Amino acid sequence: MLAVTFCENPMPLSSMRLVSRFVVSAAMAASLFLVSGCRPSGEPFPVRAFLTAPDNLQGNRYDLEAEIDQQLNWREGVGRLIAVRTLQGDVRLPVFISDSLNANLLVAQRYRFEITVRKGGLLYVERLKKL
Amino acid sequence: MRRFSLFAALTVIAVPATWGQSNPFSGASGASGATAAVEGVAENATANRSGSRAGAAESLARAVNVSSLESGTLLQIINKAFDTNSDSIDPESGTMKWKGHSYDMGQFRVFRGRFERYLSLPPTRDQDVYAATIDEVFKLLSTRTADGSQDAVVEAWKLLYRASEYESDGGNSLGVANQIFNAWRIRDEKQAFSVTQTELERIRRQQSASVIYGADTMQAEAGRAASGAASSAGTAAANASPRVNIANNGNASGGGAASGGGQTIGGGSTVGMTGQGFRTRELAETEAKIKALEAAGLMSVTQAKLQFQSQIMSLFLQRRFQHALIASSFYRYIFKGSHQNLEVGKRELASFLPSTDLALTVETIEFLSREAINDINSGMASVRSNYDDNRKVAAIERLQETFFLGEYMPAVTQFEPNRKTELLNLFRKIDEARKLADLRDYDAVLVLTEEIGSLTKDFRTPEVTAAVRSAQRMSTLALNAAQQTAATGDYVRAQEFVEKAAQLWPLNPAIKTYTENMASQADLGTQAAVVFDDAIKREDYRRLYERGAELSVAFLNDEVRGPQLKTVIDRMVKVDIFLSQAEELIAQNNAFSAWEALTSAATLVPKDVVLNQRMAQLAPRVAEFVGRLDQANRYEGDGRYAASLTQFLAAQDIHPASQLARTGLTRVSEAIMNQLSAQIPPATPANE
Repeated sequence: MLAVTFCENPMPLSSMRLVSRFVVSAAMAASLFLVSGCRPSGEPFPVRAFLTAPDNLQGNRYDLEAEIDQQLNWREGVGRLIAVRTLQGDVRLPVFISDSLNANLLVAQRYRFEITVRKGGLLYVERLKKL
Repeated sequence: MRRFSLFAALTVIAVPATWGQSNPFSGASGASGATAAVEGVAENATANRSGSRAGAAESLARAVNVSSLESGTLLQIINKAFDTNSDSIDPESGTMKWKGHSYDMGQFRVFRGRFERYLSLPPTRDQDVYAATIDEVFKLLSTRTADGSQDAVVEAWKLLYRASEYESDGGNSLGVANQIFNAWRIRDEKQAFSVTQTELERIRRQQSASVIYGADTMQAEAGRAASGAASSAGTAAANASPRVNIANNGNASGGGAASGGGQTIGGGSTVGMTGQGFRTRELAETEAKIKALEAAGLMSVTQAKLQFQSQIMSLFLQRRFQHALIASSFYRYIFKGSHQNLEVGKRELASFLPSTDLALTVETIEFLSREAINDINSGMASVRSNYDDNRKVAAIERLQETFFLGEYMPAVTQFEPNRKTELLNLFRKIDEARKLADLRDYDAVLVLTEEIGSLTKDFRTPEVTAAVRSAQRMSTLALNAAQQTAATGDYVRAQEFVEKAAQLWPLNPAIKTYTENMASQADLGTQAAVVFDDAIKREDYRRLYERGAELSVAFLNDEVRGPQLKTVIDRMVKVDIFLSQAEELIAQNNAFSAWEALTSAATLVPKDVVLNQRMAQLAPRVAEFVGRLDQANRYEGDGRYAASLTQFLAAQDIHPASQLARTGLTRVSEAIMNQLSAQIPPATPANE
C-alpha cells in the first residue's frame, strides 16, 4: 500500500556512503512525504471498542479500511446499508453510504471509508476511497 | 298379592338426587385439539354418531318398555315359585278354610312363625303313653267295644286326669273331666231333690187327704144337721146356722155352737173350720215347695247341659278334636237322649255344614271331629308320600295345611324329627329366597335357587332362573339405553332409564359402575377447572398439555376453558416439535440451530420447564452467539438500531445460517433506513 521508491548508487564507498546516506535520507523524506500524502487523515476505526461500547465513539470520525461484504438495505434517494468486513480483524460492520456519494459498490471491493460514528452507533460514511 | 303390592311399591324407588343435578357432559362436541378442518369433520362425525346413538337408544328404550310390561309377570312367577302356602290358606285374610268354614289363623306372620317352631321342635316326651291313655279312654267310652256301664265311664273319667298330666294334652282332659264331674254333681243334686220331692209328695198326699177328709166330714155333719132339722120343725133355723158359720168363720174361731160342732169331727184332732183352714194352708205350702224343687232341678240340668255343650263346641273350634270326641261320648252317657240337641254353638256348627238343615246335635260335632281327624291322618300320609318321593315343596304345603288343622293331633305332633328337620331347612331356604326376591337381590336368589333345586325335585328352578335372568337382562338393557341416551346429551331420559334399570334390578353392579363413572366425571369437571385455572395463571402449559385428553373430556361443555385448552395444546404441540427438532440438531452437532429452535419455542411458552432446561444445557456451547443476539435485541429494544445491526452481524458471523440474525438484520436495517429517510443530509460526492 505504501508507495516506496528505491534509487541505485554507482559511486565509491566513502562518497557513496555519504551519497547513499543522503539519498536514503532524501528517500525517507520523500517516502514520508508520499506516505503522508497517501494515508487517511483520520484515526483508524477501533473495532473492538466499537463492538464493546459503541456509544463511547459517538461523534468521532475514523478511517476504516474494509471490504464490501453484503448490501443489507437500500432505499432510493436515501442510501444503502452495507456490511463491510474490516481488513484488520475480519469483523463485519454495518456502514451507511448515502446515495449522494454516488458510489458504485460491489462485493469484495476494498475501500477506505471515512466514517462518523453517529447517534445510535451508526457508522456514517462521509467519504470513501477504493483501495 | 301382598308381595306383589310390595313390588309395585318398589317400582317407584327414587333414584338418588345426584341424578337430578346438572351433568357436565355434552356428547355433541368432540375431537378437541384438532384443527378447524378436522373439527368440522369431527363435528359431522359426532353429529352422525349422535344420530346413530339416538336411534340405538330409541331401540333400547322400546325394548325396555316392552319388557317392563312383562316384568310383573316375571316377578309373579318368582313369587309363586317361592310360595309354600297351601291353597286352603289365605294369607291376605289370615284364614284357613276347611269344609267351608274359615278358621282365623290370626296374623299370618305369627302363624308362619308357629309352623316354623313346630318344624324345629322335637317330639314331646311320653307321647306314646299319652296316646295310649287317650286310646284307652276312647275304648272305654266306645259304644262298640265297651259295655257302656257306669264303671267304664268312671274309669274313663279317671283316665282323663292322668292324661291331663302330659304336656301335649295342654290340660284339656282336665277341663273335660271337671265338666263331667260338674254334670255328675248336678245329677246327684237332682237325685237329692228327687228324694225331697218324694217326701214332699207324700206329705202333700197326706195333707190333701186330710183336707179332703175334713171337708167331707164337715159336709156330712152339715148334711146330718140338715136332715135333723127337716125332721124337727123347730130346728130349721138351726140348720141354717152352720152354713152361715162356715161361710162366716173361715178364718175365725166361730161361735160356740160351731166350735162345739167342730170338735166332734176330728175325733180327738183339730176339727172344725179353723183346723180345716190350717190343713189347707199347709197343703198349699207343700205344693209350693214341690214346685220349687222341680224348677230348681230342671234349671240345674239345663245349666249343666249348656255348660257341657259349650265345652264340646269350644274344644271342636279349638281343633282339639280328640277331646271334643271324648267330651261328646261322656255327654252321651251323662245326658239322656232327649238332651242331645245342641243348644249352643249351632250357628258356628252350621258353617261346617252349610247345605243342610238337619238338626244339630252333639253327634254332629262328633261326626265333624272324626272327619277332621281323618283329614289330618290322610294329610300326614300325603306329606310322607311327597317327602319320600322327594317332592318336598309339596310336602311342606300339605304339612302346613295339615298342621293348622291338626296342630294338636298326635299324627302331626309325632311327625318324624329327621323329616321335619329336612323340611325346615328347605322351608327356611325358600323363605330366604323369597325375601331376597322381594329385595331383588337376583344373584343371591340364583345361588339359593340352585341350592333349593338340589334339595327337592318339585321346586320350579328353571322358571325362577329364567325370570331372574330376564329381569337382569332388562335392567342391563335399560342401563345401556341410559348410557347411549346420555351420550346424545339427553340426560333427562338417561335418568329415566337408570331409574328403570334400578327398578328392575337395584343391585345391578353395572348401575354402580355407571353412577361411579358419572360421579367421577362430574368430579373431574370440577377438579379440572381448578387445575386448568391454576396452570393458566402460572403459565404452566405443559401440565395442561400432559392432561389434555382428560381435560378435553372435562371441558367438552365449557365454552371458555375448552377453546383456551385447545390453544394451549396447539401451542404445546409446536413446542414439542421445536424440542424434537433441537434434539436432532444437537445430535448433528449444530448447537446454534438447535438454540434457534429452542428460542422459537421459547416465544410460545417462555416458562416451560422442559424447554428452559434444554436451553440451559445448550447455553454454554452457544454463549457468544447468544450474547450477540441478546445484545442485538436489547439495542433494538432501546431504539439503537445501528448498534443492534452490528450485533446481529456479529451473531451472523458466528452462525452464518442463523435465522434469528438474518431476520434481525432485515428488521433492524429497515428501521435504520426509516430513520435516515428523514434525517440524513445530502452527502458530498467523493472525488476519486
